Amino acid sequence: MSTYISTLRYSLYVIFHPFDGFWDLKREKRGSLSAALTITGILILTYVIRRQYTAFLFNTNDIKELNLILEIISVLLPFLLWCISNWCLTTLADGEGTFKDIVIATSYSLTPLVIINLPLIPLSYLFNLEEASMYYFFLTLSIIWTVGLMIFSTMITHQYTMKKTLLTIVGILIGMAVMIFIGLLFTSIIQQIIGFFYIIYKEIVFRF
Amino acid sequence: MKKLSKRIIVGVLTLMLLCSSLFIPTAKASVPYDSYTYNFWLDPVESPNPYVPKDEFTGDPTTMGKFNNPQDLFITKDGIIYVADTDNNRIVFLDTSFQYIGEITTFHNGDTFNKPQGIFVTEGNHIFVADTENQRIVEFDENKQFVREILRPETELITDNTSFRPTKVVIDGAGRIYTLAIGINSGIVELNPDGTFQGFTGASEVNINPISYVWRRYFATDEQKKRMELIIPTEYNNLFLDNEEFIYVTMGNVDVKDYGIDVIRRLNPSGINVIRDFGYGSPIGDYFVRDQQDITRFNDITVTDYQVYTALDGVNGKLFTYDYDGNLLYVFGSNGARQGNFKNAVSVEQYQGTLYVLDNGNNSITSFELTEYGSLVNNAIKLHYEGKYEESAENWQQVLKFNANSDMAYIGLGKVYLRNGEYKKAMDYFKLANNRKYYSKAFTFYRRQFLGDNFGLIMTSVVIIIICILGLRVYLKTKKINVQKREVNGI
Repeated sequence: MSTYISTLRYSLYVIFHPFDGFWDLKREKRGSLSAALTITGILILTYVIRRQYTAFLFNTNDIKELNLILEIISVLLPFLLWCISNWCLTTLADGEGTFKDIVIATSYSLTPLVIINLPLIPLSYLFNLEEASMYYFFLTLSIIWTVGLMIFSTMITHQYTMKKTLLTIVGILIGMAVMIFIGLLFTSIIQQIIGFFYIIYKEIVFRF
Repeated sequence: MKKLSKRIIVGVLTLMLLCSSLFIPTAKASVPYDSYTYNFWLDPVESPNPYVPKDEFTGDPTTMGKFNNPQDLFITKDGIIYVADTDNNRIVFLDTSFQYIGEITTFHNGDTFNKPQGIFVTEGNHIFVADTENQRIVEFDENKQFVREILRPETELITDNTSFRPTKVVIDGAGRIYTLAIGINSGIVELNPDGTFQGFTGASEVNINPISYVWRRYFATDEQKKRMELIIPTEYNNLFLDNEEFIYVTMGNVDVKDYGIDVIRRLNPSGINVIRDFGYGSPIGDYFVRDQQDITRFNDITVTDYQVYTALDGVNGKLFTYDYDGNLLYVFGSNGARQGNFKNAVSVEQYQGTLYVLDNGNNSITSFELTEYGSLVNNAIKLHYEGKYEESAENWQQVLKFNANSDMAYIGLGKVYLRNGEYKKAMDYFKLANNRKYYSKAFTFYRRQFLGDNFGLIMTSVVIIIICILGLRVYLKTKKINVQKREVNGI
């Protein structure tokens, strides 16, 4: 239990010392999968709460149309796609990280999104529109910070040079797009097949 | 037992339904269209009818016969309707209950009109007719006597030598003549009071996407260029002079890909569009029709003294009313065959709260009278425009009884509460209407008030929390030291 908490607390060290942090995360086993999944879980929770409970001024979503499953998928799907695409590409390109390493490193680099966005939800009730730039500054900060960490996590987990890392990340993004494309293609084909058999079934039913 | 009670309940409910249907006013069912507005997310929301059809006039066989393709309508302040009865080559005068008063067919020693498409009457009851196919504007005095004709203005700026065919005309208080003419797309033609050419005003800009521009400029061969459509600005198709002598213009000939351009404009004297656009969406008509063929195409507009404007979409037979800030108040009307429907509506005018729509498909004029709901909305806007916020709020309160979805009412009431210093209530109303701009204003005041009222409490709790944290740290430190001491002492 105490190792779990200490690995979870280690995420706070990682986000301020990315080079050192990601190195130890993998080589010194300072992180754990359970802590990583916890961070991702909290991130999902953050996004759901943010969507529902951000103050009126900063929340232009139609709350009537809030769909919990869609909200969860909108965080989880990109995360999984990133990890899978990352793993697919780096195993071929001399990456040193295993799939587990990638999941842990990616989750840990999502920490800024949680620690900035979660307090920002109650804070949003204190701002008016003139002070909105402050709110949006923190929002942007969390995203930039996370993107930076993602780059460093890929670089250090796989022991790449900066140039190779950036190239790999472009490749990862393309890989994600390809996966989405194949997924959509597959769903639509399955739909067609189901529709086809359903029509045959109806034809038979009407005939007899 | 359970079944029986269920049956009784069903029976009672059915009876209630039957009874209630007896009391539904039949007038509502006879209105041949649905009215609606748009909410914050630009989804259409049903609303009560603001106007209901009152009367339809197709002509009077004993006096004037029937209309034939009439194109324009004008109503003066003293309630005389002037109709440009285009294919009958005449101008007809009616009173507001459609009684025939007279007409102009021949004038000035047997001169006649040739398909006049536009008419305007000045404050001094001088009549100006855009005599389209005769390529002139004709002026008559208050006794319907011919004064003069204004021919094609002499200027090099109108390059097309052959024709100057005016379709619509307005005259401002200083006697300047503004006219739209077929094929002239440089804007409104402005003539001096004596009929000489002054210039163009308010030209609409060219809409072109960069890719097709680059293609045309650098890659297309001459052969291809010949077959491409010309890049020309969209022409205005109607104008209206409001009580501040600003000109409202509409653009009807818009392409589907031009969806979203400002088709209603209010031009100031130097020709700049000064229309206010603070509604949920810009005043461009329907929002759900994006990328569909039946996008809104306005062909006429009429404006009240308090800058509430109603624009007519002749293609879809709808009327859109906006207030001076560009908030959509209501949409009503439709094409169809019932009384109160349109076939091809071309012109709209209003007189003391009654709307008159000219339809050249049916060759008729239809009048629409305000319902209680409509007049409440209009009154509320008017009072607010005049600065009578309290009275306006009373009207909005009434509007809410008819229509709980009226965002305008919530905003109106919110503004009054904001002025009265009831910030929390104002915030609630602005929230209902999804108006973040005013919500933020009310919130700023509320926050200040809240901090002022609870300053003592907030400061006390902050101090207590700080003391608690400090105390805890000191406690933990001493505990740690004690533990270390014990370790040192070997216990």
